[in-house]
Amino acid sequence: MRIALLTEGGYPYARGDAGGAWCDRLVRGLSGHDFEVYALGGGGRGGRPFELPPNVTRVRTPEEETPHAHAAQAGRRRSLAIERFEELAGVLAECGAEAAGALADRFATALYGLADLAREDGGLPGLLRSEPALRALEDACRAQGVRPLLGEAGVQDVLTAAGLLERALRSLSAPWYDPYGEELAVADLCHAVSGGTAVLPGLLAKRFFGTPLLVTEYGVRLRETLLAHRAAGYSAPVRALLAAFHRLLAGEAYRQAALVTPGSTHARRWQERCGADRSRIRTIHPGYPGLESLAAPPESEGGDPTLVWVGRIDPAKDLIALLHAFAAVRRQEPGARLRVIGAPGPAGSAGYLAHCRGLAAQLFPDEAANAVSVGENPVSFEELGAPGVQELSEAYAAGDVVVLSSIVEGFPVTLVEAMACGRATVSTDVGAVREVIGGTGLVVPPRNPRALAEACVALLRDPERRQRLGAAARERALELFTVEQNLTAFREAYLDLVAHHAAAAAAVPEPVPFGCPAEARVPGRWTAPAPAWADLA
Amino acid sequence: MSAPPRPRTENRSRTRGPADPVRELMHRHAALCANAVDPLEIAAGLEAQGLTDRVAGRFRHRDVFGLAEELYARVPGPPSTVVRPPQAVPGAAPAQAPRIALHLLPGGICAIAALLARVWGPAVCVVAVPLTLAALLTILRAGPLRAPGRLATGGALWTCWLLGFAVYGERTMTALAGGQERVHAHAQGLFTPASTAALVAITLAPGPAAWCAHRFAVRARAHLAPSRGLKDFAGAVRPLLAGTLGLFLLAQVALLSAAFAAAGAPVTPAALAGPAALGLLLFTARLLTVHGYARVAVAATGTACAAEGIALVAAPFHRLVLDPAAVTAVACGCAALVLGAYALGVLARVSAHTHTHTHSSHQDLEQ
Repeated sequence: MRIALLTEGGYPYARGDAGGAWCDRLVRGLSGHDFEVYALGGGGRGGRPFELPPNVTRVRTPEEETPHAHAAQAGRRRSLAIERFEELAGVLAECGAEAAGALADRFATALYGLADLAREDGGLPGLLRSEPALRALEDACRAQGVRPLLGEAGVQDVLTAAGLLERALRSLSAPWYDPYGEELAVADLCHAVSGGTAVLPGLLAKRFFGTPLLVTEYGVRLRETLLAHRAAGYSAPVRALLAAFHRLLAGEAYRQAALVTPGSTHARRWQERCGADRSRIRTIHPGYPGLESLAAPPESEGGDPTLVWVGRIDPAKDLIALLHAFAAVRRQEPGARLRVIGAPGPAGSAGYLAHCRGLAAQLFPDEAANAVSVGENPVSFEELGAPGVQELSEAYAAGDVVVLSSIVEGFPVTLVEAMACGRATVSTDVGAVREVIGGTGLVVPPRNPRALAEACVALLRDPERRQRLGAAARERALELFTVEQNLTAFREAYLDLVAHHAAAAAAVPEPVPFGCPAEARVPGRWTAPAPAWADLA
Repeated sequence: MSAPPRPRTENRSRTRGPADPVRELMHRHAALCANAVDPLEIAAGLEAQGLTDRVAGRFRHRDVFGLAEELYARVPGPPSTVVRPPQAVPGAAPAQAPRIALHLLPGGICAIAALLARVWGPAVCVVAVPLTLAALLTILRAGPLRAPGRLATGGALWTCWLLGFAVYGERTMTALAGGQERVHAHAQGLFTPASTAALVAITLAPGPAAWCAHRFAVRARAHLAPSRGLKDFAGAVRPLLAGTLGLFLLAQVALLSAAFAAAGAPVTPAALAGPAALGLLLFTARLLTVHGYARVAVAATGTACAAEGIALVAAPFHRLVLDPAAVTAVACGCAALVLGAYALGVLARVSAHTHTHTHSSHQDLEQ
């Protein structure tokens, strides 16, 4: 199958986030399919940190293919495009005043109208920065019945908003929508790995050629965009217009997608909120590499009961609550120890580590076995890679119970790793913790040291329960959160979608007999001598 | 559906539970709520601070979204009088004086060559002309006179023609029109004092031109932030542009007067009009090119060239209505006027002052 992978700001250009690594694993794992990567937003600059596997046939970015306005673009078509943009701007301006659902149709009409014109004429970026477009946006903000905060928009706000909209809509005028071309017209499936502007080519491919669209989100793009716009310090009118645009765009994407695959319940809730149909959502958990190779070492016998915390040291992890909880544990289990095994967190967290060390020293005096030996603190701060905790499995094996005390958490990787190591865990009920743990560990409310302490003591005093929970956790992690699981789910999703959506056939003006034989949909190149899947069968 | 009420014991730690728990939450997240433009923005912010659906249940809401909607509805929106801080415009770095002074380089070369020519004769031109052209090209590549994107073809050619005509046009036309002064004209050599002075003054003009263009760009951008609308902006920028053009014309006339006086040529309005009009035309054209309207600029200078060409062709047939000395002044003056009027229209647009000009010039989109 030929799959158009639509990425945004990450793969294959930036290694920064987890999404890029995931895309790389997906493309390498599904080596039977051909991938064509359409990298939107921030692509094209710098090198490519990902070495592309042979089944990536091409990487395309709208920036590399700068669309030129046709010099002889007729004035009528230009004013038509401006009219469509006016309509779009009107919808965006009204979005706060009315419910987003009522505007969805008008938004779609304006968007696709603009896309139709951009496909034929190109040159949308220049048009959106031109004076008539700015005037249209300004008029939309000044119209009757829009939110009062938009009336405050000044020239600078209009300019900023127009610039951001232009960047978001840049892929509309990319030369990818030629019905006889080699780009999206021949793709069997569009897989957008974000619900943001990356879905635009997918939406257009669905509109022009009937290609099914699959939207995968591990972090909800809409949410990230809203937070990013706030952090960037844009003024309220700019944020209002852009929030409306991204919200309506995400809604349209979820509605048009043949399948939406969130990575966690959290993402799923956002998607449902934005209009995704429940029946077309399938949660596919992310897979973590190397889980199978993590050993499940037995507990060390005869040592002091030990709690272990592994992760990046960061205020969101709430180590303070952990230390207070440990103080409560020590009151009931005087011999207990706590090992904090951390990787250095983001810049600025060094102060937090120092603060935690200070608190630990205040709460727990150094202890010695007798009058002649050197004492040590029951709380130790270690770095991953130091002697004794060289590897992850060693770090988790260092304790009887693994504790997670975060107050904010996305998809907790350390928890998954602890589960794979067969450790019983106590974690706070944040983010996707409940979903990951699923009854194979104890969950307590966040910011509640006493509950955390009670759960820890309960587990420390009951080795049999620990063992039972640990074994169940390992089973669960290896079943749900491996890369293999993730790849299998997507392999099935691809086949399922293509089977249910006879792509393209209707869109090609003159169907050629046997032009698109059934074998074309077989996973893998059917002319290749020995496809990988044949060996599995 | 609201969550079932929690048992009393839960609130034990609080001295007295507030009648309206959401108000307390609103107070705690005041900054988040006050600036929000969308309920989802509040929801995202609350989640980022660790608030989950379970916590939202305590506020009688099914999920964070419901709670965020209540907060959004209850908090008065962003303050209606937006105080716009005078923000530094990115990209409008203060032009360093040395860089602007660099724009005097072609004029300097020309002036030195003119001085040396008195000693060594016209042979100096062989070195001076290429050097001046190279200096001109260099200063047009960077600084306030740099044009974005690809240049429209013909601009350089027309400029050279206009300069050449300013130097030799009058003499050539006189020679073509009547023979009696031909011998006299040849006796004057390659350059007359007046044409040398004009050439030096015009090649010195990039200095004031760069300063004027920079001043215009910076001040126009400074008007972006405080302007309430596109019309306000246009209203503020038009007088600025008119002032800039006037300022440049003054500087050009001053340079010409000084150069003519130094060269010993008579400083009369008639003698200065031609070179001054030429300078103004070139400056206006460059200003338009810098702001993305290269094609109109090239068309206007091309028209001026054509007018001069027609005058040249008409000269042998004695059909000239004008005095040969006035041809440059009239052709360039008219073109400069038309171009100036056009600039007052288009350079007052906001889109002419954004930093990222698209590769294709504006005329592609809005002729």
